[in-house]
Amino acid sequence: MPFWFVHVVGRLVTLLSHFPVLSLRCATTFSRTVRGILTANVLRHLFARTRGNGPPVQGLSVIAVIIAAAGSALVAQDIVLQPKADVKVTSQLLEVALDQPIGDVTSNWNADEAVPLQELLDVFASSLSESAGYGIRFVPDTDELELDGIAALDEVTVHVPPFAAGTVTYRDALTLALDETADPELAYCVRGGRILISTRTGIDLDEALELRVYDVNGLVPVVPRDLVIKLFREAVERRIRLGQLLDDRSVRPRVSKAGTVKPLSAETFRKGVSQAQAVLPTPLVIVDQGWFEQAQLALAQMVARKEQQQATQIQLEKLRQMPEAIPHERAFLALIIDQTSPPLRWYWIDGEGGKITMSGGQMFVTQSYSGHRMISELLHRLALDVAENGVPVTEAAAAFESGLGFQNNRGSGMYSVDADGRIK
Amino acid sequence: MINHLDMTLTSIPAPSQPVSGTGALVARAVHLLVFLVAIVCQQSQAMAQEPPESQHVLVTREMLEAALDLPCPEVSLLRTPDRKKLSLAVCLDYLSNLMSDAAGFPVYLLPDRAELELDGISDLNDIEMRPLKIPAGTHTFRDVLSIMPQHELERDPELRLLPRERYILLTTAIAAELDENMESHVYDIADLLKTLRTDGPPEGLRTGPVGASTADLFIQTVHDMTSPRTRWFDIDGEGGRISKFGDSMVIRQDYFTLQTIQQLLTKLRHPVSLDSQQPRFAPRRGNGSTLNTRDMIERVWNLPSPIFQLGNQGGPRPDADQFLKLMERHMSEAAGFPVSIRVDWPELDIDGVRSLREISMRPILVASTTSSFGEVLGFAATNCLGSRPIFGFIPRERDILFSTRTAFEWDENLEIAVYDVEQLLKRLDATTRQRLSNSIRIINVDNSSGLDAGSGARTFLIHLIQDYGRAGSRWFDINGEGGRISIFGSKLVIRQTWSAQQSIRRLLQQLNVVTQTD
Repeated sequence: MPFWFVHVVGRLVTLLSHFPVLSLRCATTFSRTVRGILTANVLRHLFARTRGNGPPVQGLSVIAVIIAAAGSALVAQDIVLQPKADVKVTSQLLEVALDQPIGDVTSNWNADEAVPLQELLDVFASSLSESAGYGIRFVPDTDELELDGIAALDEVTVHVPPFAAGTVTYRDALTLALDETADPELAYCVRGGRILISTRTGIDLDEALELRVYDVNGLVPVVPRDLVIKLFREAVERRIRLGQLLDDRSVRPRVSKAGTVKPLSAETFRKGVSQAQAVLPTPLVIVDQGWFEQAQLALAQMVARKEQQQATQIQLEKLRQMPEAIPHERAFLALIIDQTSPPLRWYWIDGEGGKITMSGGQMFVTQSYSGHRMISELLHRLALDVAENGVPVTEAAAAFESGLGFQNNRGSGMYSVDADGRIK
Repeated sequence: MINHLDMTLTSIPAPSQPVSGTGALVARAVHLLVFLVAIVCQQSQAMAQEPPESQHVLVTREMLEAALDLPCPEVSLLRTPDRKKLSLAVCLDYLSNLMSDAAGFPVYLLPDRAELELDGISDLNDIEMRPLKIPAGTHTFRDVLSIMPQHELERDPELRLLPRERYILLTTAIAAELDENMESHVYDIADLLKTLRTDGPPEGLRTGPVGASTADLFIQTVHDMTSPRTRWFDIDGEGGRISKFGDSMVIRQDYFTLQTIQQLLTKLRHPVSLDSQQPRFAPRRGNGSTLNTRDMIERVWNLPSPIFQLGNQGGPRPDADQFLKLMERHMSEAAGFPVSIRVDWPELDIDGVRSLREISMRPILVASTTSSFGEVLGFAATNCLGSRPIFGFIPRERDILFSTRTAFEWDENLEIAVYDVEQLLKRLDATTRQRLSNSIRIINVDNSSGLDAGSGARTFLIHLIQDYGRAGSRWFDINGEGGRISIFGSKLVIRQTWSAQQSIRRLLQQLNVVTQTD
């Protein structure tokens, strides 16, 4: 092969590689007309003729080279558009894909005309796969759908407004279409590397709840350590009427001979907490990490030794050893639950549904797919507030400083319980 | 572009190794071709970088909210001769186009088909609308979207236009308040809580629970100013919730209540001063391109009406349609900007009024310029427009509302006002309270009422307003329904009817002057 030919082809390929968009467009255009003739044999034949022939044939060869370059781009494009065998389509990839702006796929539909849901999903899948670069499928949850009498998604029709390309996301369009369905209400969720179309009931089933961990470091309100100590001291100074609490044998902490406190049952604990809140001006409630164990220890020591002052000293020492700022995790969990229920179902309120707990700045949430989306959105809003105003300090701090008292300190009344039903 | 192209051309070198004969010729030809391809590439790329007009950006909630606050061009939704009726579908299309043009991106007004079908609405073309005409620039799109559903001829179900993440949804009023449609918003109220701490704790049960923290007081104020119309979990066992998040509040409620709360926060931050005097009215303010405000409308309300006559004894009786149009014209001329009178069709519908032409009125003659527009409207409503139902007019945010007197007392028509009473509270010491209480006891004919001067300044002020603010006003904590009053630090927060608010404002201003004199 002559040097100039290699040079020209190399130059063309280099040039086209700098303009991938144009290359792909060229490829698409050429694909309609020359896809059939772009075979290796034809090219070899044309190139072979350029060796000993005159300029006209050489000109033809130039065209062939350009076609070849375009063809190669076309081939490359075809490869890109096909699902990559080595790409594992994860839920994260699907979530990203759903949040992509919609292509020009709905403009031909009339908002007043019903479209079979399957047709809509096929169009979305094709367009999504093309823009994402990997295969995306909408999979019907046949078991759940059949339970509600839907054999195929063709039976369901929806209306799709003609969205201008790029103005809404695929998720918006899909949600709008599914929101139209009723009896049964259909919904989607991303699960196991696919987008599942099911009934709302099917998606919110307990079996479908999923555990996600949210890093909420920096979001959880804190109580300054000094304030906790001040509050505790104030509580002691107020001569808490502990007798009422201690007289109730069911609530009285059990102390072993070794001096360790035996854990109480959850029911007893709740009773104890409610009684404690009735008699205490609440300072203990705001000490989050292991406060109850400490309180138990303190009470046990008071009972055992009947030396309240000494017990207080022990408590104060323990408080002093705490970090500078004590996270008010319980209040944060209460906030998440309060702000999402209803419509979300939580085990601790509804006796069924999701669970939530926190450890080490990580929030562990078991909830439905839509529940997690709701929680993510709420956390996003809280994060924006923290970015602007800093990590919040609990309102109890402000109340203490302004001397308003704590008798009516409401909220914050949520206690996380682990999977075994033990209160944390 | 040209410079960039030159660089590209010069960056493509000629073949470094000379070749001879046909090969060299072809190589040069190809080289030239490469240049041409490069030019085409450059132009294509440049075109790709410049988004064509049809390419749009992803609509966000912020963009949508900003678009809602834009001044709306003239809205003229009228029945045309070829169109027998004006349908809701046509109105939505019209407003969608209007908003899209003003905002610069597509604004979709989409039906919530599932909810609408539950109420028997399957086609928006079946829903007939009353004509709607709004002057250019006086209302925002938010106002227009709130007014438009009220012009539905058969208001069953009641409809709402609810902004969502990327579009605006037409749904039913009931669905708009469902738990699924509630949103959580975070409000930074550190500044408000700080002033509250400075002001000290509230006193008395009527100003907040004993020992309530600052945040609790804020929560109570929000509850007071929005319920019972808005459902709160803490009060009703269902509905929205407020959670503390440091010095911020996370509030979950329906979109429209969140708007009210935002307005309340603005008013708490900018309370009405009792010392401020209204500046003189400047009638002409240009070409009317800026939005109407409550202040502007209230000033027009107080402008003197010109001399005019509508109808005469023995002649054909004028109707309300003629009267409203005449008043709009006079007020707009006096103000220098368009002032419209909005008809509260939902309320008129309840009383069987289907058209303004149905309301015939007695002739009216304004013989001198000593009466304000507000007085003329009030006189006409009482004496000329018939007695069943009793009609009335009140100034609203952007226009004047024509409705029934009963409707003005309804919960959704109550207005929130916040007054800065810091100085007044300081001057209301025990001596002043005692003196005021004695004076009131003397004035009262039956001598049965009086104010407990022994109560604190805040409680005294609240009792004074409730007892003497305006005769006939209903208060929730006295009558079980009606207005609410509370003190948030040094700010007096009142939710009452417009006319009661006017009386209370006058009372507070007089009180302010009297205590200053003392």
